Amino acid sequence: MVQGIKYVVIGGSAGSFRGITKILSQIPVDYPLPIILCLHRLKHVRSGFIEALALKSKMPIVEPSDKMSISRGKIYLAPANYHLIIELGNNFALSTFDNVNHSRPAIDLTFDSAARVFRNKMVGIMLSGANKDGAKGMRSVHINRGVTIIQDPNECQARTMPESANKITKIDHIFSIDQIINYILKIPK
Amino acid sequence: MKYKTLQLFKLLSLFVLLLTIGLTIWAYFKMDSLFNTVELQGTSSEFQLFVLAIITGASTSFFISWRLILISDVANAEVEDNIDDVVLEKETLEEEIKTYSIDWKGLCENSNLAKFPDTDLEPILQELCRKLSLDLGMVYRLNSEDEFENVYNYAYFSEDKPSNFKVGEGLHGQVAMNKQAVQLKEIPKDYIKITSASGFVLPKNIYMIPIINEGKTVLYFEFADMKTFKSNTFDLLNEFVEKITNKIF
Amino acid sequence: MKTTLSILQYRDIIDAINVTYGINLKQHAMSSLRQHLLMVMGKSKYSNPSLVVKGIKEDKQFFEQILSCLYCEHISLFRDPAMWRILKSNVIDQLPKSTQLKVWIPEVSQASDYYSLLIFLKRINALKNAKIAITDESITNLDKCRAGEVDSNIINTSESNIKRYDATADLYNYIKQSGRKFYVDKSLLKNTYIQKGGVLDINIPFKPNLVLFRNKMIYFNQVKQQKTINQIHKQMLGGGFFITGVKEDISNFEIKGKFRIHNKEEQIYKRNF
Repeated sequence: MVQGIKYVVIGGSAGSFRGITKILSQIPVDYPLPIILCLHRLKHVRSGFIEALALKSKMPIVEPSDKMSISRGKIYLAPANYHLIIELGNNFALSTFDNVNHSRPAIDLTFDSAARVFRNKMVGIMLSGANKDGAKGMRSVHINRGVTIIQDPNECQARTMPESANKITKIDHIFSIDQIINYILKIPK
Repeated sequence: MKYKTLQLFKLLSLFVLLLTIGLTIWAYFKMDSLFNTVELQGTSSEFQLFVLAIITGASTSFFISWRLILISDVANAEVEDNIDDVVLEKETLEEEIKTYSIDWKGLCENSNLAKFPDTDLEPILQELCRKLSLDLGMVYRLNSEDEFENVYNYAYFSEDKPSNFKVGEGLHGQVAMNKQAVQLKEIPKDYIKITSASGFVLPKNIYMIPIINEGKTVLYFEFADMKTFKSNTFDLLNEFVEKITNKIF
Repeated sequence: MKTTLSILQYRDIIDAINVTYGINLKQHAMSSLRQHLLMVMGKSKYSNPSLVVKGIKEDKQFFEQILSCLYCEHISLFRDPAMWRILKSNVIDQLPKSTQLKVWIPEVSQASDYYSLLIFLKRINALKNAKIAITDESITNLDKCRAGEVDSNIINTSESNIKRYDATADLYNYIKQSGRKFYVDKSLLKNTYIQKGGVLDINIPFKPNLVLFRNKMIYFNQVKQQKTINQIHKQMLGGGFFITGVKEDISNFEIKGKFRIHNKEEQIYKRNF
């Protein structure tokens, strides 16, 4: 079901880079919804990652600063060494809270806060990754009646992340990357 | 002889002199009781000798004391002369020491200079101050109300914004009026201060540099430093005026 | 079962803190503060939200725990090593050697920036002449700073960060282990003035020309962020430098006439007159 979805939130870790770049390369420049990416990344590397993603993306990619508003038609990437949290009021908040699941940014925190704010207007998409980060966040998405999608573990380089989510909560769709792309493109229509 | 020893000697001499005068005056007024004590007749030879002794003693000590004062003053003067010599010698030596040089091409190469007054002069100010070891730098620009308004600063920290000034007002206003660069070595006490580890201190030199365009001062640079030695700072600042004027006007 | 805190419970806790201790946390970002409260509750005997209000009113130690964790950072020393390099090359090295650095670190919290500053100044021979003031609402945090206590969890990351800052630097030249704890060399702590108080209502005895306030405003809501910017502007010397976290872009706020950008990447601002 794609009706009413206004936010796309994607989490990923080891092995997700290829999937992410494929998704971004297929999204047209005038895609109307905001896409929020929470990807595990090296803490001390502030530049390079966004540039690498931007090579493939037609939409502009931004690392939000604290309290930045969430706008349509932009891709937001969680900055290195900060947790990315969604706040009531449709803006981002950053945090330097301790690592969650050994990660900062932690996918759990992004998904959980997005679920509380966006509720049934969001789709949470979990890609390849080697730890359980994001599983509890996906549960929160489901509890708040958002749509939950995981990448097909058979396609993943590291299947732990999507499988962990699948173990602890109901997943609406298990898609390949191509299917994920089709789904995302269908939402605004 | 050390300067402090001389001063001590001078004080001692003065004291002896005063003591002698004091004792003489005392003896004069106490002459009668003194005679009674020593049982002297008024005009006896002993009496005459006694009086003579007092007078001689008083005169001699007075003379010696005064001579000592004069000697110590001369000696002081010699010591001070020597100090001046040493300072002069030091200055002469250091006059040869500090010559700065600046790569003008590098400093004024900023292509944005042509867009003055939209150009940001702060990087140039900063670079210039560092190259010349200046402790403070300020730039004022003539605004639409004919006042010089502070626009950029280097190493200037203060609660309040530096006040505007008009042409002719205060030292800097006079420099702007005269359109001639000035190096001040005697800094008025309430003038600008440099912040340092010991608090705020008066600089040793202030360089006041007007920049002229079409016969009018339109920019005013002011620099300060703590240099006690002579250097070519002022000459280079004048050269800077020439370079920047050519670039921006 | 995982403890949760509803919005009503959260508001009751904030009100209790305000009424009992006069500290207003209403203008803190709710998402982060909620998270911090849950963390402190989880480590205390007040894990049940219904007990927390009572705990705050009756147990000062519990409240002090909350206060000490407001900016619960677990941030290592020399976080964002590039900022420290830029601070040296673009700010300190550009000033005359006669300049005295007067530094204020509000909400010093776990003191990672404070200890980093001490080491940084020591390495450039500027510590002796510098004046440093640290302030915080929490007595626990200030006492830890007095003792120079370093969180042992951050030591490993701090070690690699300081090397990223300067490959010749060795953290253990400045930090010693004593049993299970780590302490900054006491000789570094001498020049520091310590005062209790929040950033909005404190007056330190000198006007600073450098304010380090990194990754603290992210825990405020936008109203408090603006008030903080105004307050710091008021407390500082004109011409001084104000440093925020690399993702705390204050140019989105009303700063015209107050601050201008000195270095955009590292969020170093210069205070206007």
